[in-house]
Amino acid sequence: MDDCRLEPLPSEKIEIVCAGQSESGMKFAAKDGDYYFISGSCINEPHKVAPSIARLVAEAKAAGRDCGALVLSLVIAEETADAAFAKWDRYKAGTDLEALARRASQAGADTSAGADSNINRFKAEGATLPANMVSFIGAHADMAQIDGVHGVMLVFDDYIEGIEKFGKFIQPLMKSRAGIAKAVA
Amino acid sequence: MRSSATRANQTPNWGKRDDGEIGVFLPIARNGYLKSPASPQYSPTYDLNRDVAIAAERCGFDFALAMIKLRGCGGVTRHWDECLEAFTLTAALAAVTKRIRFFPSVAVLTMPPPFAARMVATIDSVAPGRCGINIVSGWQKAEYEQMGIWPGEDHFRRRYQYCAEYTQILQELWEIGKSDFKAILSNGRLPPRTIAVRKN
Repeated sequence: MDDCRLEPLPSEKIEIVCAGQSESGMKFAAKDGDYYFISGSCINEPHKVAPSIARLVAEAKAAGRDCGALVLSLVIAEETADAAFAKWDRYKAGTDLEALARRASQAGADTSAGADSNINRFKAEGATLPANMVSFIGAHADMAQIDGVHGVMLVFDDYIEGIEKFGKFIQPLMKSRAGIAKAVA
Repeated sequence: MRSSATRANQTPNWGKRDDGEIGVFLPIARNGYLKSPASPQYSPTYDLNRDVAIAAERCGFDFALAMIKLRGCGGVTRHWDECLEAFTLTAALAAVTKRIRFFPSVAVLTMPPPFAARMVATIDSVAPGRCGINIVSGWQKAEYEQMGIWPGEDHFRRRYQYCAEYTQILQELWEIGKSDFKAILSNGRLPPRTIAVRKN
């Protein structure tokens, strides 16, 4: 940069989200990010992401900063767990293998990525799941209990229906959202 | 927290929370994040994303993040073959919401950091205090190679160093309005060898 200028300045500090689960990606997030967008692979077992988040907490601590994890999570909520799993099983039976393979072959181009990186998670996807991330299917578990989790970033199969159901049925059960559930009720 | 004076039709404003935040990963690309013909099939229109942002805000969601994908996965579902651009989408969503925060994604190889800084400042003018940024280092070569800006295989190894330099420039511009940072990788110019030259 050579006397590069910007005006107007933003009205507040701009928050930065980072991602990337390789060691270098996590170090970057810990040093420069306010939030770290993390993915995992599990169904109704959110504690499985805890070891990755513990690494983030340690890196941020070493950098003398705070960086909160935002856990990317799929929600498929129905009135009963059976109905939600029936939906998931239907999606799973039709997994678009060609699209998954294309994504996996692209991921394969980076031979420098560590086993813990997103890229290798894609490669290891087994190419059979229509979505491979932290998933809540017909169940609620309290992710806010995991140290270092700042929040969750939700993905839905049907977004509008999913958000409405989340607001109506799931959020009111969450201890961490008690105030908000009451305010929007 | 909502005060007793809040009108019924007004979204309560409780500010940023220390933790327990809920966000939505916007369906900015075709079919969202499920790769199956049995799941809902849709184009990632503005109308859909607007309805999602408004529904999320109404349900008390704290933020919405717009990713960026410049090349799709194809297949029978044409997964991600359609994808809107994150900053322009966010600017439009910011104008029709009141409280929810946004994180548009910048694919750092596609634009010089002062340009990304200015786009965020522009959205901040639309929605003060409600725009952040998501930094995308870029791992999918096809997204960049198709437009002649893939820096070469070294990028895989150096991409977070690139992001750190990029972020430093963003922060200097946002904080003091000026940057003289001499970056090695993300100097705001594309390295000459990455500029596509068409030979007839």
